Amino acid sequence: MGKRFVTILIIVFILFSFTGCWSRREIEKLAMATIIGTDKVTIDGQDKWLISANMIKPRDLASQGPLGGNGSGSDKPTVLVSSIGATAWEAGRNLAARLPRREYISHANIFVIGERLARDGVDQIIDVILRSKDIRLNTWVLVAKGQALDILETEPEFEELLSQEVMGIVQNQPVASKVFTIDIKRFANQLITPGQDAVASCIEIFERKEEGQSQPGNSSDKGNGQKAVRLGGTAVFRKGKLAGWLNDEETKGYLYGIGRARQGIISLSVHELDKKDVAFAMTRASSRIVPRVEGDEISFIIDIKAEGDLQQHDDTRPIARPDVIKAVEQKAAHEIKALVENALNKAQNEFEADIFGFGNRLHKRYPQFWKQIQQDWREIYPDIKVTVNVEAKVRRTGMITDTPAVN
Amino acid sequence: MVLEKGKVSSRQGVLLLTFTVVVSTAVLTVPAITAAAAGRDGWICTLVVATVYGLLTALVIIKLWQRFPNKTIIEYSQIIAGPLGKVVGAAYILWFIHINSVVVREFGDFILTSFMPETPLIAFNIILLFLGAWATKSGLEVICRANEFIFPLFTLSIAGVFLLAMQEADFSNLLPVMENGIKPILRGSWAPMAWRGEIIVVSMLLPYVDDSDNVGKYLAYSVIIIGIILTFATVFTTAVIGELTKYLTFPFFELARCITIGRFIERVEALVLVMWVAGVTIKVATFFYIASLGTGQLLGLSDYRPVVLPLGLLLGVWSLELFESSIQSIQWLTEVFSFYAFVFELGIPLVLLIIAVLTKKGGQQKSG
Repeated sequence: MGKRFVTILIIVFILFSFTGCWSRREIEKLAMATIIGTDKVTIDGQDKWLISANMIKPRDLASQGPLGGNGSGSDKPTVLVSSIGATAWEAGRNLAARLPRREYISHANIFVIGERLARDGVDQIIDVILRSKDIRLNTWVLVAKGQALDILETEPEFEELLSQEVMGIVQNQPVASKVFTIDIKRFANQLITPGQDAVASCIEIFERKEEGQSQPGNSSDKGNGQKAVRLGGTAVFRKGKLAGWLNDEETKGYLYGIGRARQGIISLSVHELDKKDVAFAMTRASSRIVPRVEGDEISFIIDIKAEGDLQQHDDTRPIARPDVIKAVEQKAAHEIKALVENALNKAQNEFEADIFGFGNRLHKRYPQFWKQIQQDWREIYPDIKVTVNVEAKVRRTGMITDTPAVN
Repeated sequence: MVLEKGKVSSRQGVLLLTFTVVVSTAVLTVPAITAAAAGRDGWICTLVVATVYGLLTALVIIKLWQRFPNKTIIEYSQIIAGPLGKVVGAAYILWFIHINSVVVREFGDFILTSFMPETPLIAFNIILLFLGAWATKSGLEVICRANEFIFPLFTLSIAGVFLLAMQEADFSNLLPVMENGIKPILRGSWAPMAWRGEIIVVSMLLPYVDDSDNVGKYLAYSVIIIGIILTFATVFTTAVIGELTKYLTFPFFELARCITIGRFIERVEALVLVMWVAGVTIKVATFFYIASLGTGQLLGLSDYRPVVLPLGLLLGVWSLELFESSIQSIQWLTEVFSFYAFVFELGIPLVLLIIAVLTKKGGQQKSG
């Protein structure tokens, strides 16, 4: 009898304890952030954090589903909220004054760092991110040209949510190889690895303009001042502080240099000097950075192998011949080499930032030698000699061989 | 007087049990400690140095057991050292309880840090100790069988994390090897050595193993397999997380959090939680059991079960009051635990063995 009583008591106890846990977060009590922006602002002479986030409006999702195409017109699916505080988390919690639900950042997969904060130094924001249990190491980091808040204000053009749009752009980048995308884990590693400076992708607002006005990144979308986001170029850091930007072409060179280029088009002048008449479409590329130490002389060799197809030929002269293809390959190699050297030049001479990680390679290959020069690496770096070797291969010519001649 | 009437096979009681006891907490805590001291060379600590130490400890345990095949360390220390043996026995029981309360505390701290920051610590500690007490009351056979059931779950979770993290790994993060010579590696080895030495728990269980032929072999296997698993854990965390490893509190957990395969295999850190909860339950139950059994033997009781409740209360209070913050517990594990553990894992058993050999106490079995 007693045993039975105890058993029933235990069952009842378990029933009660299984109904939920202390730290539960019910979905209908949460405000889900999809994209987070951090800025530094000066208010009354004091530096403050400005945290902004796009929160999903729950009502819309319940009625239509997050990806429902037939949106109800003007009603936006997200709310942009932002607040200011002396520390990042104080700013974040200050949102509570206007949020009817608890903020929940686990599902935010994009983190935008404002330009001002990046120039002050990203070390402070890295601590905020890494210490939090809710932000994952594989969250994407983007550096905004201007304020992160403005980026978050932009309306998505394709997708329902801005975060989906940016996420899509991030994942669509390998086809052009013009943007260096990076997540928090790699970004933080770049910052703390000796002999390596950090880079991150740049996100900027582009405005649809009247015809004839110049726009960033060769874009030519027409419009009347509507804003959209684009990823283009790279934010270069030196000692954790934003030093400047690489533009699209320089980023391309950088990506080839470090072996992160996947696909993309290289335009070449094969028959005449002043006309780009061949488009070489890369299918794969790889690179190896090899350090050399001879005495006290440090030099590096970047070996790049690129492989691709002929995508466009703007001339009637024959091209589908081994000797012409050889010439195309040489031109392509030359063009890639020029791109890489251009990026190198920027990194070494303008920013003096070791974004290729030469120091890191030297460290791995010659650890003892590295110890002697580690202190002076920043002085040595701008003057080291880097040789770029490129080998390009044209594998196929597409669906036709020679260009059809027009009578 | 035999307090434990159950019998377990050497596979259950030696190979599988020691594996769970050591790996369950080591996999989460050790990579951080070795990375802090030895950086990217942490894997050498766990693979080489700790394994050698583990095999040495295993050898001493086996030699002592061959002299006293039907006695636990609490019993034979009294035969070897006389009245002083009682003190040694009491010290061991205290050590078992202390280590156990640290394990309970680590468990609570981890869940609080990474999953449920608002929940009071006592909630997790009480649930865990309740399970531990229950298992202890049920006896050795139940603990071993439960472990046999949990073992595949536990191993598969760890292996799953390794496999899924493979594509994120960049093994050049392990270079250069031994940049600063051997010293940082030795310094980073203290923690994995102390953890490996926890195989000392078998010195309380060996009398209840029924196939004594395989004991030595299985204990050695266990030490080596633990070494390999922990080495994998260290190598993968370094390869995936890189330089950042030494700043993280729970590198292996972060490793699981990094896993993303095609945007649909994501957030597999629940695997780590499954592994952690299952493994730690067994570990706590084992230490709880040997502490109770030892107390029974030391005090000459006819049954160890009456001491389970008082020990449980002691464990509960101790685990809550042991450290004020997680900083203290990490510092304790890094700086104090190792040396404290060496005394009980290798120091005292070695001294006992030497005295036993010199005074020719115990049986002279030559089997190995």
